[in-house]
Amino acid sequence: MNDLQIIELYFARDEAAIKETDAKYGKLCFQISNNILHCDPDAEECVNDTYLTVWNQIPPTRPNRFSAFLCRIVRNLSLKRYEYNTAEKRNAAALIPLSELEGVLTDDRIGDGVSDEHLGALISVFLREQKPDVRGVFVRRYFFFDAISDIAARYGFGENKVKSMLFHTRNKLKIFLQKEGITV
Amino acid sequence: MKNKRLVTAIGYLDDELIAETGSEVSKKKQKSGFAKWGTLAASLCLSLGLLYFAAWFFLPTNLFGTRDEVLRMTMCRIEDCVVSYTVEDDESRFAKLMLENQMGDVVAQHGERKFYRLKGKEDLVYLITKENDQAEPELLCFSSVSHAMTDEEYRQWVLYESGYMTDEDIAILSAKTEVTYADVFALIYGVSSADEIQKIKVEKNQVESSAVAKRVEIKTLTLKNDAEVNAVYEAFSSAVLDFSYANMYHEHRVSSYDEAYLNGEAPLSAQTERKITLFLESGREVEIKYAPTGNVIWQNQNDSLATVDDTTNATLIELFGIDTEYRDWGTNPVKETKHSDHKQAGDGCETATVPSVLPVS
Repeated sequence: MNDLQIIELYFARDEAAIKETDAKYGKLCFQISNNILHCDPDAEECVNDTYLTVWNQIPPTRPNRFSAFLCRIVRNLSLKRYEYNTAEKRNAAALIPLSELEGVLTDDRIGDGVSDEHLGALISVFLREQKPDVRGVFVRRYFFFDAISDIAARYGFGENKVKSMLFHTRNKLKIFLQKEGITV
Repeated sequence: MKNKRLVTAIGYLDDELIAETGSEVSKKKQKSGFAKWGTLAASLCLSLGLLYFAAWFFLPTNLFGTRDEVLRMTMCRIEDCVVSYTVEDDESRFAKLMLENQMGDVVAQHGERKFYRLKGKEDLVYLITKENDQAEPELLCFSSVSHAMTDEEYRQWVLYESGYMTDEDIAILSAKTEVTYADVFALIYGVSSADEIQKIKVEKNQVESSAVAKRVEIKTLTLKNDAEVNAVYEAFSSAVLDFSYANMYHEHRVSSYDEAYLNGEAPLSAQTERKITLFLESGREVEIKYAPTGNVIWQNQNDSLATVDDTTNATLIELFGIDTEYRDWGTNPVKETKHSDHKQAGDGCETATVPSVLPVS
């Protein structure tokens, strides 16, 4: 079943929509969540929360890209769960990809007055200017939170090359944001 | 959480970016079997190609049968020596390429062909030849070097042993209406009668190298009797030389490579060429080849043939004890043979199945 048909099921308030969503995107959602949480039960719970969120948002929302819409929701819910877990000391393990981004924006207060959505749009513009491989590696690492080894396997690169690509992309992103007026 | 803003902002990336990255198939997995095996096949082809090129370039060229000079033999005069040489075809293309650097001084010239000494080699063992400025160099290997020949000896040698004739030689011989071997004996060897011949040896011409010819046994015969020696001398002296290349291969001359010979349908003894050596009183030896089926004699493979008439040929056959009957001698196991008490003086063979196909008059 294609994405438009699934969306129509949501609009028809047909519970088969969730079944079809799980069949098509269940694995992807679980992978994103587990990349962040490193905990199967928590990831499964986040995926179920994602389906509920989608059920509540469609309608009235009609997403242009259903997969991106779904990924964004599961990512946000998983990050919230991660924040909750670390705050309660339930899971002390640091999310490595996040620490890698520390050098780009050294302080969360930087760029006050610029919305997260605008910042996201700027990063999208930056990524569009990069080579497809560079862009893909960045998104896989910082949106999907894939492990370096998984990215290396996915693109057929060595792990060192992936690390190197990410390092250079982060530096270029930092310079790009500075030029765009996001002062450091 | 540090960098919460950036992490959140990345969550707002374009839908397109997320969708395209999320749906990207692993490049590693995407590598199709065709690409994988294609790469392997291409590597294999390249390796084989390189291997073939290396063999083609570095191994002797005659391994590939691309040249026909392997057995070519010719002669030339270098300083006061007369040398015979063969083209050294065991050289690789790489070695031939390097020959240019080994060319020393020009030591002789024969027509368009120039001969160069190998740099650093004073003895006449190897030499480089080049037909003209464009031809590729060839490495020659000397098979014989004859020193201190007089000009006359050299002329004679060139004329009757190398197969080369100078314009002057041809002019002398052409002036005669008919050149016979009597002229050859007199002009080249200084022999004008049978008295100057000590003895004559008749044997199988070992140049005959076909499989059948090799199996045919021909007993060596020596003629010492004055009457026999005189008869042979007279017979050979009457042989008329034919200088035209068109008649170089006499129509009646049947070689041991001919089908009838190979199939055992013709008298093997008669078709096996003989080598006749005349031992002169002066100590020199004159070598003459004789083909009984062709009525012809000659000295060198490149020489013109000289023809004897049928009567003279019959005399030679009798003198040399050549068996004109068909003999199998085990050379053709398929054919049945009959045993008889008949023995031939020269051949010493026992079987005698007819018919005779030799035109003996």
